Amino acid sequence: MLWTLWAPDAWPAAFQLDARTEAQVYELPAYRGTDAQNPVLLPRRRIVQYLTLDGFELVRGEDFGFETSLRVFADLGLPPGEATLLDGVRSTGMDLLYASVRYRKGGTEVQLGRQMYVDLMDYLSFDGLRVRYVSPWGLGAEAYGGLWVKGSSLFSSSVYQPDGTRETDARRLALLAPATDPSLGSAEPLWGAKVLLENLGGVFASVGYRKSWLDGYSDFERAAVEVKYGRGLGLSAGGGAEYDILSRQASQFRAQVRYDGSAWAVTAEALRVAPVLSSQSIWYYFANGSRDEVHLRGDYTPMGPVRYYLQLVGAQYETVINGTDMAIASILPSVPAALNAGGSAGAALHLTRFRAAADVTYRDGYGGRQLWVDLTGGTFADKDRYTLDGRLSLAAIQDAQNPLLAGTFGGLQVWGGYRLTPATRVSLVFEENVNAFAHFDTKVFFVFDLRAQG
Amino acid sequence: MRVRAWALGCLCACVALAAQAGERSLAIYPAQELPLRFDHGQHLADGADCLTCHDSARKSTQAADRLVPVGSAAEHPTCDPCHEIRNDAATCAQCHPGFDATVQKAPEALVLPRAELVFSHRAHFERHIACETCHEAMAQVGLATRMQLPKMKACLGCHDGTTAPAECRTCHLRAPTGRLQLQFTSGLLRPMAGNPLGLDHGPRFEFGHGTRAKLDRSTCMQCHGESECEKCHNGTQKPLSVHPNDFIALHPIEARTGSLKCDSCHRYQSFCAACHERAGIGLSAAAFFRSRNVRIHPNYETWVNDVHSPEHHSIRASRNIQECIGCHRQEDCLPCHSVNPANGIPQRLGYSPPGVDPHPASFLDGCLHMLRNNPRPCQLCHAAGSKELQCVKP
Repeated sequence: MLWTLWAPDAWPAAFQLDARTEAQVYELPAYRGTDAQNPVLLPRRRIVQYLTLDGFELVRGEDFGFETSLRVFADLGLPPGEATLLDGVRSTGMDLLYASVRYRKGGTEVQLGRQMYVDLMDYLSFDGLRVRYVSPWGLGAEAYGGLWVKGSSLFSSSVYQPDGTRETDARRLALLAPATDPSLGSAEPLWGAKVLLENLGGVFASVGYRKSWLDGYSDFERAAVEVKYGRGLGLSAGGGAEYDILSRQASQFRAQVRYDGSAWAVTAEALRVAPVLSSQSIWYYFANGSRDEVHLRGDYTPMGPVRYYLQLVGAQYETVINGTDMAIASILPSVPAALNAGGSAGAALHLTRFRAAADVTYRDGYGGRQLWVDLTGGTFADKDRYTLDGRLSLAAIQDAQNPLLAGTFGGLQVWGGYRLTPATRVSLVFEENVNAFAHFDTKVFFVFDLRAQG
Repeated sequence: MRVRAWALGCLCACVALAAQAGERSLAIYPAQELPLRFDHGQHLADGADCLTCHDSARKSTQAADRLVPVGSAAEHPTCDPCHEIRNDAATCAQCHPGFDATVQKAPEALVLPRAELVFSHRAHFERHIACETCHEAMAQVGLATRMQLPKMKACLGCHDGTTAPAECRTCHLRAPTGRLQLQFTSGLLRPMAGNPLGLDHGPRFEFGHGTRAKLDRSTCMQCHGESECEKCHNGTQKPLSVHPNDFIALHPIEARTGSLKCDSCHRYQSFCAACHERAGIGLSAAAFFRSRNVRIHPNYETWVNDVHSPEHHSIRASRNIQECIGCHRQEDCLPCHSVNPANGIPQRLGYSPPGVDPHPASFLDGCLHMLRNNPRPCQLCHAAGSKELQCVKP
């Protein structure tokens, strides 16, 4: 691919190079051998470099390209010796976020390499092959397979780690600790497939299956149905249900109905979710209670520079204690489901040279009483050479379960940007937080962006 | 090579950057400066038609072509046939307000940036598509502005996949990734209210797009590549546009309610627990970190020992186990819940019977199936070959 980029007789392909450097400097309160009133401060001095290279139309006239992204990072505030005592923590490292070649022609799409996959079942990344074909009549199929990208595999990030387990038990195995699991760091093959129906009178649907193995045993095995209807403005709807084949129970349900008018929209959404946990973990067997959520949102956009929204949210946390056939059930108190409800309201203003937004969120119930206020604004000068943005956040928290976090938390962030050249921009961000918990807390962020296209 | 204000866009991602409903996208149709006095309605009423002044549109094949009448101080070939144009202040000011040819070399120039689209007037002209199909009601318009340029809804009247192609790339420019170009010098292309495909990205869309992204991945991927997902779903640095200020102090509030937002970037056992261990909060941390578990939970008696207490940890774990696994490793459960003699701890703590059973209702009905598929987690608490692993109801 790189040869194609620099070869003098290269195809008239398009390429884009993005480089982004982010540095973050601040301190973290910690409680090593101390108490809440006397935290020790740990330095966080992180620097991260992203390097993204995309290419397209590598063969003349063909939808054939590649996308790659590499992340290199160092946490200069974390001594390497300390990092070795923490599972899944590195003081320096390199992650290949994605690197894949993609080809599309007609109804066929093929993608090879490290790629992300998002659907109702999960948000994951795998090293492998994905093939999708949709016939002109709208019927199709998709299949994919490869190795799940986990924090313990080569050049990879823990963002995609199957949850409920640590990346690897290598540290504890070396200590001969009890209840260790030598298979945690093993390669995890997975495969999945979907039968697709595309745009049959505005209806899109799929039935999917996914399975992964770890050292010879099933880790995930799930199936899902997804349906969507939409024909532009007006009524649209989507929904899906997931079934956990290992535990033989429904594990997730989502449905969204939306009406879009020319100046307003209403969205209603219902969710039943349970954590997606690795069956390699004992948590998987005890994650009994699901959570039900409903969202109702209205958007209003009159002519002019301002638009508004209002959202109501409710959540119910099911309380599912051991059944009557188990030892402890008979003596535990009967506890109803816990509720959390609230809403948000906000407005966004956009003028040619100035933009601002205000959002207020209030929630009460399980999780405490919370009031969040978020104000943002930004402007620019000299044809975007100078940019200035600000963000003011306020939170008033009252949670009986965590009295240490009661009070008002204020934070101000000011972001100044300067375009050095047509391809580069540098930004400096200051954040100052004030609260009774940490008193004054200053953070500094530095961002350098480069984008080149050719 | 061009740089875009993507850094700025990250900070203000919660702001609707596109123009509002009924108006035109600033990204597609950048702002114009039209220091002119003109009346389309009057010209049409007087018998002119579109091609009288915009004849070049018939041969135009690019959106960048300039299709307004051209002129100079000396001559106005498009206007001359009808207007008697003299080079004096009064005549010039009829169309160029404030311009006086005796003191200024030229009137203020028009700023007419190109539309950021793939478009051929010629192709539409050859298919006999009338000008007013896209440029509506010009008889009621004085000076034509961006508001007389067609919105996508008008395009989709013909571009329905049958009469004309309906793919996004038919009209929209593409980035070097092959996906649609979203960043322009004039702004960010972002579906606005009234988007004819029903894709409105309203305020704080970034915080609630999960269900749509999960159910409609192929539509999202028309515009957004993996790099755009990674900008926020990253899990390494504090994303300035996502977490509010002071989020490190406040994150327990969101985490306790098991916010779906946490899951989408962070894994509890490989991100949260490790950081908590380093901070001296995690119970299973190496001795070096000297963790003390005194900050988080209610008093030990009601939290652990008193199973009659409504504050017993089993209730919280049942509702939202993610709240637990952000700090705890599974070996923290074993001392009380395991019946595996190899762990030996229940007996040491004096529980009778050893191992407080945490399994949910009807667990035995399906446990054999799970055991066959993956016995490893079972064997953490139950010794291999023990009678419990026969999965038979007592």
